[in-house]
Amino acid sequence: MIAFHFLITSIGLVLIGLYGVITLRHPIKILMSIELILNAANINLVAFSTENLIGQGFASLVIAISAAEVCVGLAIVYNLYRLKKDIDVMEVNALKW
Amino acid sequence: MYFELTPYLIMLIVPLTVVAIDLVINSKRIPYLLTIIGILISISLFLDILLSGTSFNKYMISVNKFSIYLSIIFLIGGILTATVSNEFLESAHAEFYSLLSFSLLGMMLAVSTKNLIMIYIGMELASLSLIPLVSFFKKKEKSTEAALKYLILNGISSALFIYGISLFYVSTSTTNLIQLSKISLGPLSLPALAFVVVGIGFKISAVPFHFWAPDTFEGAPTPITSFLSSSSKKMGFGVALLIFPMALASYQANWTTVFAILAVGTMTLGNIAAIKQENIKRMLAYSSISQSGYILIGLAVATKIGLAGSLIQILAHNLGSGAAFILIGGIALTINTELIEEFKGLGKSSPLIALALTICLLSLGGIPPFAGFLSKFILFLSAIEENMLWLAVIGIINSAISIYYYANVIKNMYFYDKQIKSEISRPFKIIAVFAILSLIAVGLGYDPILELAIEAANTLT
Amino acid sequence: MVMEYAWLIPVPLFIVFGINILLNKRLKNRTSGYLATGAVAFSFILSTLIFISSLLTGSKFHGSVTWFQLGEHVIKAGYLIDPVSSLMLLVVSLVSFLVFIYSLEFMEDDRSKPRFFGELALFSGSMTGLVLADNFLLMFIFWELVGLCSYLLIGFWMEKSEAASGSKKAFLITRIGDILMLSGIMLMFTQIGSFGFEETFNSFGQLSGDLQTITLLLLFGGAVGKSAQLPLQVWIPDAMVGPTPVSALIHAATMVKAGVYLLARISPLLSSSPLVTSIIAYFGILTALFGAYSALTQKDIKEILAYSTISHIGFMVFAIGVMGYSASLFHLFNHSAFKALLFLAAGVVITETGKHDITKMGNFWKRGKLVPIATLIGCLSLAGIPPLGGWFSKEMILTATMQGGNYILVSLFILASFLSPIYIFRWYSLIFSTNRRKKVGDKSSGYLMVLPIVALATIAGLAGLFNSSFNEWMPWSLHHGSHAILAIGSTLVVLTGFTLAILIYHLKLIDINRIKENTLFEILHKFSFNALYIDDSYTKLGFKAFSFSILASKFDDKYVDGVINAFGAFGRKVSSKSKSFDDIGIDGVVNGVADSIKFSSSLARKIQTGLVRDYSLWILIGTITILIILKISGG
Repeated sequence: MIAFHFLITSIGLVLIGLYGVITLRHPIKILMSIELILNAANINLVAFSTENLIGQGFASLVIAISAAEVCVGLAIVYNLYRLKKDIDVMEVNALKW
Repeated sequence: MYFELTPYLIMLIVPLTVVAIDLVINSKRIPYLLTIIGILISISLFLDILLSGTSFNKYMISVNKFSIYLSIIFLIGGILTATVSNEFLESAHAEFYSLLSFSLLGMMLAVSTKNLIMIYIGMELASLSLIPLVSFFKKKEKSTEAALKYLILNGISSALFIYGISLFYVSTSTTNLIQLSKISLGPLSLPALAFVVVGIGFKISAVPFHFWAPDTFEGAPTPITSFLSSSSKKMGFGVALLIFPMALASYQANWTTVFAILAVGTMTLGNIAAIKQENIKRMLAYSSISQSGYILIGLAVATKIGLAGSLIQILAHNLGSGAAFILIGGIALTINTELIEEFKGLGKSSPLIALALTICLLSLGGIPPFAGFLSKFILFLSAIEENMLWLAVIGIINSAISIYYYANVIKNMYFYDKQIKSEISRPFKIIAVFAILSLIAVGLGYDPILELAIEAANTLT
Repeated sequence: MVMEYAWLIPVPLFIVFGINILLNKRLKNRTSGYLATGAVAFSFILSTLIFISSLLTGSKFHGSVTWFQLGEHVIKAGYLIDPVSSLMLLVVSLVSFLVFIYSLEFMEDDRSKPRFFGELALFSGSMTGLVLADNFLLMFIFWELVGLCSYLLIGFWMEKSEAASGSKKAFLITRIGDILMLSGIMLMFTQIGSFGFEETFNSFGQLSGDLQTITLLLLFGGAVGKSAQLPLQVWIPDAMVGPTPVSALIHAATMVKAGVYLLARISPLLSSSPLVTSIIAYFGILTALFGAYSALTQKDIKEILAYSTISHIGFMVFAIGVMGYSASLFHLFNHSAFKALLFLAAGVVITETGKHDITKMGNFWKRGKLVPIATLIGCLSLAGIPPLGGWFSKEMILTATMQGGNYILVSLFILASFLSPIYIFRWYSLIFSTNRRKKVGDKSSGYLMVLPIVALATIAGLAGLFNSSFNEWMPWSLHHGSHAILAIGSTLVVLTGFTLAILIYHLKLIDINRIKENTLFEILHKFSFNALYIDDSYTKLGFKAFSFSILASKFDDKYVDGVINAFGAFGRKVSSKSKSFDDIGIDGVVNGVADSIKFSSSLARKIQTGLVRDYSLWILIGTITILIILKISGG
């Protein structure tokens, strides 16, 4: 039954993450919401790695990769701030149609 | 014994060397030459492996005909981009080329495995190297905006993808595709499938996950746009071809329906939206979306011929679209605009480039005897054979619609008498000749290529 | 044996295309023309040798190599030489050769000569390739190349605005036919597993009756598009904006003949399906009537010839429909000779007078007798006056029709052949007649333009002599002379038409203006002049789609955006400047369809708001949709 709880937690985290991605305007907060989804996956991977350790190993890889992703993201956001002095994603729509 | 791994090692060593040398010598040419030589050696090593007929299957790496076929396609996309990049760059050459090589390595790894972990790592390596490349023109707002959109949307979709993989792991305790195919997935199967489709759908820019593509394609530096269209997208297809036909064969009825619907939506929306575009890069971005729709037909049919058709269409689109973006970049460099209207008179001022672009567009439009015709023909044929006549009919109608906007570009290039100055430099001419020859060779059914595609498709099921 | 080398025929033409396009500016204008003419001369000589050897020995040759493998299907590529293809090869390369020579002078002053000759060479080369092909796939590839070349060549004079629209119309409308044909080919392949003609002919009978009918109709659809049959004939008159040699080539050798050739190729399949053949026959004869009727009142020197081509291709298609295959091909041969001749003569007239309107011409007879006499021979042959080739081929078609025993078709055929002499001698008299006081220009044509005309006149004049040997040589025999009374009767009808035309237009014994006062004739005249308003009604339809799209775009501004806003964002405004619908100059069906697509295009663009938030929402929606589809399609 404990397994079921982990699953519910991870699904909840995914939904919160998606909600954040859709509603938030600040790019760094959006990146944090994405982290939530990734961590939901990590919970699954770690909690269910009972038969073997693949899940735990995979989870640590995912953490490393998400760190890299945030680094790249921060660089882009910083550059955006330098160019526009404003990082509201709702204002970033020069490319459309 | 580990000879099959050498091409991958080279693509790892090259970018590291490029960065290391840049610490000592600040040169434009060294990174450029090193990367091109590295890619060429890698391609020839792959060809050597093909000729010797060996394969490798150990740890998480699996090198077979399928992975070699796709890796060569990525490398071709990479070399198209690398050849002309120096014309666009002003500084930071070493960073550009090393990121390009890393991205290539990621793509190659993503399709050279039978393990979901490796697939994820490869895909992330490729896209995380691509994001800085998209925003490479730091001072251009559009470039940064393109990168931001790519970053956020790629983040969401790959997070959902990894969540889907975690659900597979929850039900089966394995990430190996071969073991996965033997175990029943249980109640979590459908959400897991859906999340994996989303992750892949983003990479291949299937409707409705395509929104990043036109914006990012337009904003990115043109060589990178070409790379996104010719290689990064194909990585998504490679992963889809790896995962679905083999590991999820028991759910074939489910995912073929999904891919059929995605194919119809992607083809139609891409083509229709392309018609009214005035910026040629954006038009080709939409055309690239619609071309993904054709590739999806093969997955929707999921027979051997269908998968082979997908693989050939991947090649045809890789060559046609990759070269078309590069040529447009070359033209835009000299006439300083990307508007289709401004292409008037190009047929006279630079006949070779105009001819090559025409052939690329005709190939994309599916006019024989160019590559795009053969691939689409095989795809539609496979759909009819599987009693999916409706899919083939929609595909044929779509390819007829697409002719309209391709013809518009050709009309602008040839049917107006206007003097424009365009001195297009040599790398673009090399690409032009390569595009003409390769599109005709594939289109006339050059047998070794088709044979390789079919054998690659055979390894999938 | 010379037939083994048949594959060489298109090769020099393709090479010349490559040279001319790539060297373009570096090539001297003159050299490019000579290169192309040299290449086509080679093809012509080779084709003649093949033709002669086929005529003498009656043998066939089939060479093929493995092209590629598709699963268990081995796709072969090769070439097939039999009486049908060797005749077509001769026709194509002969007419091309003469047209190329003619173009050397006609395009003398044009600056983009290398491009012109390059494209012309590709055009002829693709057509010979189409004729040589031994399977449907290869044939389709060349079929498309021919269409592509005609697109480029019709739009060759890019400074004319109608050139671009005419070429686009030709390209897009013939593509309707191409799509039908491609569907037919694919359907056939999935049933039979081969593209080859021989394999298809052998195993076609195993298909179910309905499938046979559908496949044949789809293939016929391809021929309808390419050969400008009703209802896809609207591109031909607009295609007249191209240079005259191109028109001659399109009408006499390359483009429109491809459809007839396709039908002749699949004749073994046709004979098994009486329904399809009767459909073909009716389409053909109605097109023939339509073309002849519309040609009666046109004013443009080339458009009359264009409608005449529609009519004559109609005759050929009709002949296929009544299973008079050899009659059809003999008519094709004759038509190639006299239509090329008439177009080249029209080119001479146009360069010398600088006009296109025949009502403003006249007195051309005085400009040297060679061209007028040659043209007269062509006109007589077209009209079907004995003993010229045209008369023989029409008699053969009539014989074939009589064997079918359908008297409706017979009478329609006689009616259509009654109109031919009238329109063509109206054309001839208005241009050449000495009765008028019209001045002629002072330009004159050189021998390079006159010689091909004379050569073609010789061929058109002598073609009739070979009718019986032709009939024996063809794979399908046709029995002659069983309907002598009808033959004489129809000849008399044609002669009546001829006399009428002479009386009205040449001797002016009957005043045409008084006839026109009659209301009935006025209506008939209007209908004819506007080609039954078919093109116009397409345009009107286009207009409807257009006005709909304007309405819709207004709607779009108001409501669709609202929906998208409400849906995608949270109280945000999207700037909704929809691009006004460009190109109000609507051009018939093409733009009509195009506009409705363009409307959906602007809708599709609207979804692309440029905001990351909307895009993420779409990803969520997509995820849920996929989940639902997966659930529903669950097996």
